[in-house]
Amino acid sequence: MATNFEIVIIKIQTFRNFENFIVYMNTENTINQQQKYKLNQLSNLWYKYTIIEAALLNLVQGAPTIDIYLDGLETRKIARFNDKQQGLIGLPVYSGNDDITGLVDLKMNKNKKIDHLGLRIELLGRIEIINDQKQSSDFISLGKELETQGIIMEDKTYKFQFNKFEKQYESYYGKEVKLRYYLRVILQRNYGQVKKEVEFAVQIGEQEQVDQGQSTLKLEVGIEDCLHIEFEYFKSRYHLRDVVQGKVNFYLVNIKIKNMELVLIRKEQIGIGSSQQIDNETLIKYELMDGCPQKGEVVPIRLFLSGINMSPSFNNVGGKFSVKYILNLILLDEDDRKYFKQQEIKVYRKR
Amino acid sequence: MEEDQEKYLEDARKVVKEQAYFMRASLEKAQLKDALRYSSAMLSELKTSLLSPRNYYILFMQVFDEMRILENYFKEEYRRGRKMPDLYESVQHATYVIPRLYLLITVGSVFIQTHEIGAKVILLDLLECIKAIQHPLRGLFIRYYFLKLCKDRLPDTGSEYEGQGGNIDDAIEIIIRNLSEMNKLWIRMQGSKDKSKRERERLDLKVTIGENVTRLSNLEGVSLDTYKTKVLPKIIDIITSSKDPISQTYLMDCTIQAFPDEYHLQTLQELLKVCTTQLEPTVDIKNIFINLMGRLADFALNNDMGTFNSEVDIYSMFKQNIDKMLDSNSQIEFKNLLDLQVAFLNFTLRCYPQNSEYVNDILKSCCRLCERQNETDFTEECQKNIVKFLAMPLDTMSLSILTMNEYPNLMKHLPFQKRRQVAIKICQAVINLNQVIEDLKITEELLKFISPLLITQNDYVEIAENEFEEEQQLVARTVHLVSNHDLSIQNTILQKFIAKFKLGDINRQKYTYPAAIFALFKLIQQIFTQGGPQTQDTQYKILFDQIKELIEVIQGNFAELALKLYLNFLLCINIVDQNQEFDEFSYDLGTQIITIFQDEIGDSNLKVILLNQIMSTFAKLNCINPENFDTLAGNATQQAAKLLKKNEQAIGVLNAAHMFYNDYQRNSQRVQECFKKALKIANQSIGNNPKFVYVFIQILNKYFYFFEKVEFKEAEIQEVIKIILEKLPKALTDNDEQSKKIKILWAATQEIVKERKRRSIQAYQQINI
Repeated sequence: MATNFEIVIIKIQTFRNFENFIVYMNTENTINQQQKYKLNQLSNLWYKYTIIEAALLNLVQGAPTIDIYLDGLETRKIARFNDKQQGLIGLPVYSGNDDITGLVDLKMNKNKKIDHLGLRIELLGRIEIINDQKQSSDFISLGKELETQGIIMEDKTYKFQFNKFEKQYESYYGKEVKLRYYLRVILQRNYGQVKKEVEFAVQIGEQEQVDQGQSTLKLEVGIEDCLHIEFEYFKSRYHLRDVVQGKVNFYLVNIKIKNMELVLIRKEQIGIGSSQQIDNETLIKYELMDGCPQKGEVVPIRLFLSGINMSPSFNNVGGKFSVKYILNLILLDEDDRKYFKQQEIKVYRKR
Repeated sequence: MEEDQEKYLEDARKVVKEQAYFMRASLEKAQLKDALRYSSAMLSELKTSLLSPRNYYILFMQVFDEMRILENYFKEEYRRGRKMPDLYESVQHATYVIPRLYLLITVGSVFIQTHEIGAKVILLDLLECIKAIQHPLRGLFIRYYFLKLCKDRLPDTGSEYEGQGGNIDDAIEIIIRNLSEMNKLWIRMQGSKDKSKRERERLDLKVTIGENVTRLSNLEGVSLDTYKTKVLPKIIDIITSSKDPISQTYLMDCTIQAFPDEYHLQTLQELLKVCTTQLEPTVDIKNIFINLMGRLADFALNNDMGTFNSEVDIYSMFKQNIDKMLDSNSQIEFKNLLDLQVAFLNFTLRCYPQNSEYVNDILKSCCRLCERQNETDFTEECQKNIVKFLAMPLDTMSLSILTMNEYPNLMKHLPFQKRRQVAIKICQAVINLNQVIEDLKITEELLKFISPLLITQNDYVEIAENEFEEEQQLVARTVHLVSNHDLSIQNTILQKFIAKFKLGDINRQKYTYPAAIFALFKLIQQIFTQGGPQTQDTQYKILFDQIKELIEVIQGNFAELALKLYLNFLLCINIVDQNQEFDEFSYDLGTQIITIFQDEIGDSNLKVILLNQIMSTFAKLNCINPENFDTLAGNATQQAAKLLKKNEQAIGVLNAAHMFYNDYQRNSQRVQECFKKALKIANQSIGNNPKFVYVFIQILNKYFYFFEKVEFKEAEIQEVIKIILEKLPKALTDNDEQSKKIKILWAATQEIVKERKRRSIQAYQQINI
């Protein structure tokens, strides 16, 4: 057993939160079984710390390696995500009726022959609840046999193709939840498997939905004898590169307002019912107004969404989670009291 | 507090300097992103609430200069291919609104220059965004920055941005909107706390608001017509919609200053209407009017007056509006209304110098205004204004305005001191203009107005002696302006003055009587030049008696003055009475003179001087018959012998000789007697005092004077010379003042003799000195 045991330390990303500095330890050269270690002794590391792959055992006989090459990457759009573990990543985007095709490359690595139980490629879509793996589940799993059980004598390349695979949900890398698509190739052996995974992204563009109604979001709020405003966002639905526009009408101002800001919040709701977890994350704070307006003033709202890394709104994805976007309009007075009102907006991806 | 300000400013300036340095360094390395970050940090200093407006301005200007660098870099970036729409969007991602908008305006300015988008679109967008700054001070400055940057980017007529970028209407609209917003912010600054400090701070900022009006006036496309129909109405809207006096005052003033005078001429009615009916009561309309009238008057004077007079009836417009204001029973203070009247009068006098009807109309309005007031309303300042009001027309218009009915009506509102001032001003005006007083009616009015100077009125107030003297001298000078080709009228006018003078007491008469007397002298000479009296009332006798009467009044208190007046009187009579018709009268005067001299004059020094004057006057007289004259001259000579000092006596007697030998007298004997007396006195004294040689030298000189007229004994003269030569050395031993005088006189005497000898004049050949 000992001879077959491999430890691979893969990239360690820096996290601001050192308490939770995590090393993933793998028994094989794939990320499969994860064990968490708190490495407090490393907590003073600020910079990106990378330990290059190192094989501690199996020095004489290298394991075979698998690589997956996707076709047409040079022309494919790349989507960027901020993944909690991997940091900023860029993934090729598939959408609509796109097929995903490519090659699987198997290298013998000094092996004369490989006895195996089968070589298989799978396309997986998985919702991962980061702090609760039990809740994680695949919503799509397609597989194809590349090689049936037998012996491989030389390096080999296999073509694969998943035609118009179902793209039900968008890829999403959130704070507490991820929705990721990946391809996985597994070489099954008697004494374990060799695995390779490649992530890709799915994005679902929506038609400009004219008929679905761009209602304006309009609300009058106030505190009796103190403040009476009406704010209005001209649209309730925004595409990702859209501009939130609107205005704030001040009908009555009897408090000393210091400023007004607009805060965009992303709300992740995980699970349903009593066990539901909610995480609010402030994506941007944007000062809308400086000083105290007088009755009758109208102050414009204009927020460019293009500068903000966000996803479309998701509602009850696979029964697991929702992502909502909230605009929070905040008035701050000179005694630092806050007056705010939140409004949900729908965000969609424009086709 | 002040110190804190300095520190706050210092700190902020330091940060700006630092961040600007990094910004420029990044620009040099073409790192736009970093440059934007640093400029943002720099601009964030303008978020401060700690600075006073003045200090904020200093900080603003520092940032402003740095932003020009950034602006230029944006231009270069554009040339290098950067897409302006992208930049215009990306600066809007900035979190804080102050840096965001300063950057946006800066990019916007460059964006307009690319012509990729209409100037109007960007400018309106910027204006919309700037609404986010509701803080008055910061709002004013960012809008000021907007104005500065869009200055040359407006779609003005003839500008490169006209056409696709909009037209003049858009340019006007943009600035008007900015003006309106700035005005609101400015007014909002007022707040309720610490009113006067806030007002001061606001006034420090007024130029930022005024910049809008300047921009408007600099627009090529603002023609008279555009101004009339599109600019002015909007400005007026802004002015009248606020109820803020500071703003209204400043914007009115600014508008008047910024736009050309022709425009104001054509819109005068409108302007005036706003001023009189739509502004807050505390607005200083007076100043606005004064400025407006001042400018129009200048314009009128520099241009063809004809167009000024005919095209628009400016006078009537002002008149109507001012009257409306007077009658509107508004809350405008009396003082301000009065100020306004003064300004209007001034304007009218400048523009319509010939039109006394206008002046009278204004006086009427002013009277009406004054009638309405309570006595307590006439504060010091108001009174001053009324004084001005009364005095002003005199500077430019003839005295005839004094006959206007309204003059006395206004005058009665004034307390004594002010009436006195008006009187002084009137006198001064008459004197300065050198106006001849020739009209009886005007004289009557004039005397009425200046009576505070002439008689002691009920509410009379004492003033310092020198001031009193000054005012009385003014009156005296006024009398001398009386003149008329008809001497009878001239006399009547003079008599009016004299009649009034008689009512003043002796203190005034001291000044007024001599003036009147000399005016009568002048009249008498004029009568004489005309060939004698033509009418009953200008008979010499009457005038002489009157003069005598007047001098007698003076004589009671001012003997010396009276004496001198008598002397002049004699000289006057002497001119007209060579036939000695008034011999007895003149002789009487002469006797009077001697009597005064003898009885009333005590000061010995003065006596010497006066006696000299008496004798020299007598020496010129031919109006007294010889017998009488001899008596008079004899009396005068006796007075000489009674002088205090011996030398004075000697020289006095010596001088008396002139009375007996002159143009009219040839009495050698009396001359010789004078010499004898003089010598006698001199000889008595020379023993004790060698300095008395001075008198001898004078006697010698006097001999020389009479040499060719009167015969003297040779021995007598030689005796004098002998004494002189004998005593001279001793007299000159001291080196005091007196010795010097003797030396000089002696040298001059020697010179005379030498010169006369050279000319071989017989009499001098025997003189050896």
